[in-house]
Amino acid sequence: MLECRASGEIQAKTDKGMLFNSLRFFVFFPIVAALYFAIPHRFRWFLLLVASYYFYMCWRVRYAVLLVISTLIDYFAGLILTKATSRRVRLLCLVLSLGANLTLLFVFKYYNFFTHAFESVLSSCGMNVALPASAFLLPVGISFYTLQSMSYTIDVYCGRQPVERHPGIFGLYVVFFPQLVAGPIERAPNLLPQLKLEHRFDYDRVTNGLKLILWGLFKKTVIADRLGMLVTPVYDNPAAFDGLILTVATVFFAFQVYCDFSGYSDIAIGTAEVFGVKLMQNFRRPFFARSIAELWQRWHISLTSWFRDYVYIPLGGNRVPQWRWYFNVIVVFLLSGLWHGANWTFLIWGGLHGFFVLAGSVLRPLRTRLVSWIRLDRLLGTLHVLQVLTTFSLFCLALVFFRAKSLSTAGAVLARLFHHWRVPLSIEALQRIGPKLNLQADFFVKELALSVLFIAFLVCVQMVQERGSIRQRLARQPVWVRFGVYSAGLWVLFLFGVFQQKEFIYFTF
Amino acid sequence: MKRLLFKLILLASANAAVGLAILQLADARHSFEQWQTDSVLLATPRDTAFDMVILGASRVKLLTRIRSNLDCLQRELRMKVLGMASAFGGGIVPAQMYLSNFYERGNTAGIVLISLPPSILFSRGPNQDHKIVYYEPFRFDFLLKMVRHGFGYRRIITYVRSKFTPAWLLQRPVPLANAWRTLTPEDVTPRRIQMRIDSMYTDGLDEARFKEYAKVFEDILGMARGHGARVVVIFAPTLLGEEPGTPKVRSLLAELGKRHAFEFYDFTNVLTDPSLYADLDHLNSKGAEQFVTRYLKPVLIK
Repeated sequence: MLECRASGEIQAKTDKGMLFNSLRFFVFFPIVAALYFAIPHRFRWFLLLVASYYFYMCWRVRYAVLLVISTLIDYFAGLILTKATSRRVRLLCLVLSLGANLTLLFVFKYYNFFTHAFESVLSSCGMNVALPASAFLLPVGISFYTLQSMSYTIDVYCGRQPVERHPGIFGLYVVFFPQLVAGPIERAPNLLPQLKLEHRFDYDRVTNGLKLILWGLFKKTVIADRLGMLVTPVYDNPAAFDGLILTVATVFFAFQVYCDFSGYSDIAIGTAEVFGVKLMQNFRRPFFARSIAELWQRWHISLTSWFRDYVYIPLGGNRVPQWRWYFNVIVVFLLSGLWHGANWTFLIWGGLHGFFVLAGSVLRPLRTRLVSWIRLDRLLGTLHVLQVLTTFSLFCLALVFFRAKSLSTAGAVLARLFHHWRVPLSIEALQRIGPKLNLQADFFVKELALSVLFIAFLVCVQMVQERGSIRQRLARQPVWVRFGVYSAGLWVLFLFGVFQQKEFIYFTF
Repeated sequence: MKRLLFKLILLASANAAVGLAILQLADARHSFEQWQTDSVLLATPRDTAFDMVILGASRVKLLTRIRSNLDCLQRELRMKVLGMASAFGGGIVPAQMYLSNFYERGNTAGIVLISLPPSILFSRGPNQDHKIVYYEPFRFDFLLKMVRHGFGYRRIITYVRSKFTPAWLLQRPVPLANAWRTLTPEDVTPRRIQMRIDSMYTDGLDEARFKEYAKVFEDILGMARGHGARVVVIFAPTLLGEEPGTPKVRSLLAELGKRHAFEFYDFTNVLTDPSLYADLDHLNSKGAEQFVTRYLKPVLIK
């Protein structure tokens, strides 16, 4: 029988909201963009506000109420903060606003986690208590828009941001659809003024945005979702696989989560750019970082900077005694881990990164001496590669906790990670792995090869990007070169994209 | 904005033209006998008079997909036969698409034999979600048929996309060997029968789907009769016994019999020897020979 399986079977699935890689979005976005440039500037905020609520309600209509609540809380908090002269009143207003937002987050995201933890503690003390569980589903994007909303209130309190009196513009700041459900987590000083400016249709700006959307779709559908097909079966049953497969799956997951999340960010930033809004950069080639500390300056930049500005610096940052600095770093990373998910695995993941950052700082003099002793400082290229590989390895190690559904799964993976390495030395040996992943043998080998090829392509592109913007270089090329590149991008997307409507990983946060 | 729209249209058009050219070239290279391919479109000629065409699913696909079975069929019936049954459990929607394509290419058939497994009138799987998107060549008219029958957009994208794989572009004839695998009485257990039935009725006995597919079936009857064909509807032999959907389909056939002239024969339980089957609902080559000589021949040659 002829096996005609395309690279990514497209199946009908239940609707999962308006994902960026869905047909619905490809109809929605051009319509909104066309209307945006067709209508007078004074109505555009309203169009984007309605479109953004429609975009959000494609997931679950009733959770739009939470958006409205969060918006109203911080809108009125901003007004009160401006009007109130008493420091105590202003502080109370800030606390109430932050408290309300954090309560929303707690109720919908962390309630079950903390009640289970509390029950475990009581149980270990001999008291068996069953607290009521929450049946709420996690509203998409709640972790993102509550942080964005809170940052506005804090900035107004600190005098860094004038209050926004226009309720519609403020509402749009909270729900602006390109970055609503998975960031970048914007700041009021950057986003609010742009929402009020009149943006004319600019050919270069719009095409720039479209190119970024294409690149983001490539990362998401061609790389991330393809890797997901290979990673998920391994992490669902780690005991069935040897160390080599678990290691490869973990490395693949690193690229999967990077391409998934940065792909989303690229589409969000590109979409916003079409409307004339410049969102902040969220990823800057993090796998080229030479330390974990540097990695966090390149990975999920909007979240890292949020925790830096609103948690780390208020705690004193590094302008405190050393023990206090250690404490600040660990607290920030634990909170960052907890932000990602209500599970011990995320806490440990965050804690590990905090430990890596501190260890990197404490051991720097020792590392410098070691490098000098083995004369690696004379081979800077080699040193950089070693630093990059070490950082990536540490990142992957921590990622085991990020990916595993539970501590026991993470433990099972780590226990086998460095054991029983069976290297397949032939195509037939490689093919035998396929059925273990519930994939046909030939299909598995083909997808594995494509995954490696596309990862290699991604790394090459990013090496070029380290030296300057590819989009700008492309814009300077003759039209036939640009046409060829765009055509190739579309063909790769069409032939190799996995269009099984997989949610973006960070939607679960 | 006009400049951007113009360039986007130009980009899309140019790439669509290249894609279509590749598809046409690939299609033009392929010409197979019906026993060399799962594709019905590739095996359907133009302007040819057949004595009989067979529609249905894999239960009757095996009669023409395996050369020895086809030779036996044509020899015993003394007919020129074209098999248009779908591989991989095809439904009534693919059957309608194939029959309309058959007539549009100027062919004729004296008999239209329709094998009607009851399950295909209740599930989307054998119909709009069927795997024909993988093994049929790209044809505009077939694409339009898919759209008219409500194939999902993802299925349609798969239909187009799957033609750009090396496996499709370089495909060779793939004849199937004789199916000599046999079952033993130990293989026929109530649990296995139930599992097989459950896998066929994935949507249960969905009333809305039944109504939808009943209309398609009536359309096939009308189309065949409209082209002067004798229509014979059968339940092919299986070891499954009476299926959950059988009573409803019988009622449908009785009702349609008042409006359309066709013959109906229930061969479900005529062959009960497991050694005549490759699995619970597919005859092996020995079983196919028995079925053709003992049951099909007497009703088709009167």
